[in-house]
Amino acid sequence: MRLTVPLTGTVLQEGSVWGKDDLIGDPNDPIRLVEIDLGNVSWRMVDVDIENEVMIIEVSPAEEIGEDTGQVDGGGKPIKIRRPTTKQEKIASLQNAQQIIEGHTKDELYAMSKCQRLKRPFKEKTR
Amino acid sequence: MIIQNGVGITTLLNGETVKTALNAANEIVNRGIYNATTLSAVDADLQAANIKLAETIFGFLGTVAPGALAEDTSGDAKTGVVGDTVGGYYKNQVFGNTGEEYDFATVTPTFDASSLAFGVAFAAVDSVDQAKIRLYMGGVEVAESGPCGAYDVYRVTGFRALSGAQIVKGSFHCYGDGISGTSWTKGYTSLPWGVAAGSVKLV
Repeated sequence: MRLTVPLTGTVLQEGSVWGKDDLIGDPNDPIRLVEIDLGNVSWRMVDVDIENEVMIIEVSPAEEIGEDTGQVDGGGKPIKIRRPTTKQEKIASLQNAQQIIEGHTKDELYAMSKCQRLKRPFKEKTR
Repeated sequence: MIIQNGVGITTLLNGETVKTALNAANEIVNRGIYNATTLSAVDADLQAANIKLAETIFGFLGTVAPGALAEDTSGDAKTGVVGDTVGGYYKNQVFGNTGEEYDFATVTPTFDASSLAFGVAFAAVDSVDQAKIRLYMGGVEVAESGPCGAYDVYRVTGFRALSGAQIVKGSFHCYGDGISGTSWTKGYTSLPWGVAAGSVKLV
């Protein structure tokens, strides 16, 4: 499932993640998704639409989930094991991530995440 | 002057024949009289070495084969801290607040200008529900794992175009408050976390 998510961070070099002019972010404030927990999913970058300041990601449900065994270790910490996620859990995870992103406007996502909009100090100086 | 199809073409000027020249900058061929020549003399780029394999343009049979991929950087890799507590078996990384991030390993390979870079970040993590692993390449987040909810080796992969010396790093990101994260290795030779990067390029 693909989602389009707003970006935060600082651009050091305007460009593309697939083009000859590389899009480079500040290593101390990298270009990244607004910091909202998408739940029990992983994702990978598909593309960056720098003009609209969003990233298109491919989201996948977690194949396994940590489950509490009810036991604790010597330090009192709960012991968990990994078990495969069910089909229903996978669907629910994807729907949850979709609702988080597509159920809110761009402005709402920035407010929820308390992240600033993408900084582009060199925007007018593209090659 | 010659009249062709009702259009006059100047052929003599001051007693000399007016010649028109082809222009390598565009494909327009105006009406006129031309000196005998070859098209490759007009545009030196018209040659077999600039034409796609098996295609013929003005008699030049192309010899340019599709680009092949070749290794660029050779898989630079680096691991993070092996362990600094409890006999060197694990590192207890505590996240205090949502949004905290801990960079656990970084490499800075030099990529060719035409390369496709690949990265992987991995870590053995024990029960940190609200921490996830991130992979950054060239200052762009390219992947994030699911929650590190039980002891296992978690990994994320990503790829993008990169050139020159660029940072590739793996990090833990905390989505919860007061979360204690533990990375656990079983044995001295096991390493808890690391990042690796490589690339291929067209030749």
